[in-house]
Amino acid sequence: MKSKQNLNQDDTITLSQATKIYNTKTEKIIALNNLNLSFKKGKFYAIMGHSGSGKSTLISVLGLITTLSEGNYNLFGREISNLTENQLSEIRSQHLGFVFQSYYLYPTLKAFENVMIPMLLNKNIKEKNREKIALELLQSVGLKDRANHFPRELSGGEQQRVAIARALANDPNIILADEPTGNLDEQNEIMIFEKLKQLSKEGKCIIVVSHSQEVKKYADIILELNKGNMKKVSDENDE
Amino acid sequence: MKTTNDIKFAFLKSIRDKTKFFYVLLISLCCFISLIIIGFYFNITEFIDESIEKNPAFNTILVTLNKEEDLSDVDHILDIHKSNNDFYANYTSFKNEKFDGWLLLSHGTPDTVPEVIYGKNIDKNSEDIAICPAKFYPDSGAQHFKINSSDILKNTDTLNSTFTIEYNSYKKNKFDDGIPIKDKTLNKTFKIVGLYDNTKTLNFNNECFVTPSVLKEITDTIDPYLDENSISGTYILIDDTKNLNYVKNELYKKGYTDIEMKKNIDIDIVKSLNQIVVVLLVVVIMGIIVLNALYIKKQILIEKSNIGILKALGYKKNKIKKIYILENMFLSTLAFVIAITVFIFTFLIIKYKFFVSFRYFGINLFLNYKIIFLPFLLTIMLSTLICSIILNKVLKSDIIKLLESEE
Repeated sequence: MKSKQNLNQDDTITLSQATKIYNTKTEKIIALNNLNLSFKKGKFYAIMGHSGSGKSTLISVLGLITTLSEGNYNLFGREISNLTENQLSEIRSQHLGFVFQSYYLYPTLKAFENVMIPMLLNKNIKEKNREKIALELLQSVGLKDRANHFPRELSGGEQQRVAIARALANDPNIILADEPTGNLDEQNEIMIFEKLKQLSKEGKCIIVVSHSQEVKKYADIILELNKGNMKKVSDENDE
Repeated sequence: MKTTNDIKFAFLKSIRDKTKFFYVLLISLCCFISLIIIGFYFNITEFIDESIEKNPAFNTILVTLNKEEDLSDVDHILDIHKSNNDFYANYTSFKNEKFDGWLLLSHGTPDTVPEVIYGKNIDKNSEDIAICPAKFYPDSGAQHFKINSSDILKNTDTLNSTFTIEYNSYKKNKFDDGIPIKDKTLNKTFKIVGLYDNTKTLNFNNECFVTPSVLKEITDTIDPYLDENSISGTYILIDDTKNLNYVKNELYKKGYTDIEMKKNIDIDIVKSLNQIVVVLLVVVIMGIIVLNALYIKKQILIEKSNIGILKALGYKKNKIKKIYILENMFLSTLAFVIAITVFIFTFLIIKYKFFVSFRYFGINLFLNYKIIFLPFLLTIMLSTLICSIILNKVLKSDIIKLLESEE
């Protein structure tokens, strides 16, 4: 797989004076207010907060899905605020992995084919190796025997694990998970957080948005948002 | 991402989604209907148009007329000849156990002879030559529908061959009461130097064109006592169908009331047919456009969250567009293939099972690229265009909106 070039190994993501404002017809909504944050590799970050606190906006900004209204976003030492849509797409495919609450698996593709979708953009993975890598990733989430199943044939927990395998397909440095256990039972929730924790230990930067208190057990750093402001930052050393 | 990957991805997406089957069925039905309409148009209306164009008989007016000089001041007239010079020869060398042997010998000039497709055209200076139909039918009267195609004499059998006609000369009887009696039997041999397409000219009478001088010699021999005043009619050949009305009006002005066409197809019916076909086509085209637009829009809206996830995974707009357009092209091509297969089968069944009798009259069914081209455009190109337009709109949405649009 492609080695990541020119990476600042310490600061994976740095947000400076990050502000996101949504303009509606009647008012301005400040979703993120002048945030200064940095995310490092090998760490598990949990972003918590009530509905409307700005946590989903934050993960969208981090995932290059939404752009900032003001401030700077620095990814591996590269300012990305002024990049084109195509450049942002390339960064997303190479450096970011996404896990969503609703899994978003392609219903007409089998589990291993879903995992292969991001690899189709990666010129460094040979065509003949794609299926092998997909199966290895499914094995890593305990689903090798379900590789040939369609999403409808999998449970919610299994679908989410396929989504995690898909997020890992291009070996990204950062995994962004938006309410990854929102639709799962407790047993599957633990399984998913354990897998994410394991990935952080392997050196990836894991950023999870969650309502679940369970995530606190796994997170190295907890960011609590309130109306777009950073309410509290705590890390494992605090406890 | 290689195009082969795009194709594979699109192919897997399309063939595994059973809900797409309805779309394929719907579009193939529309395509089939358009093929039938266009097939009808080309086989009937174009055929008739072509026949009118290729057969001067459709430009020929028959009037009761005694003095040809009367029309010298009327424009657009190419040829004037007496109708009773045309002669049915009922004893010819064609006669055998299969052929009735009847031939219609007609006034042949380069203007009156239909387009020659084999051999050469008539030459007024060459006597004893004939331009004959490319297909000789066993029964010149075309009285029955059933015919064995192997019984038809084709160009290879007749071109440059000769045929002989038998006719009688007559003399006055001893009472001199105006009823002639047979004098002797005469023969005349003609060489077939050219053939015209009697199928496309809707001419099924086994009509051969010979030089006017020879024809007059024969008819004068047959009926030497013909009163000049008893002329049954005169054929007036007009240079173009569009000038028919002008000449007819001129004839009316000159006092001729008994005006007919030598060979007639009701142009109004042809025009009505064309109009009906055009209206049907417009309805089908609109139907295909609306159905395509509605269905593709619905499908793409259902797929919005999938499009969103592809964008989130790093797929560029053009890549996503390519995949979805390829998928649509697979489905519309499948619909087109189904429609064309069903159409060809239907066509062959109609042609060889139900249309055999019409072939005797030269009305044959044919397939050509023109029939297939418009349905192809409608089915594949139009769907692709509609898909592209809807995708352009959807792809403008940001990823969050696309992901949140999950049904």
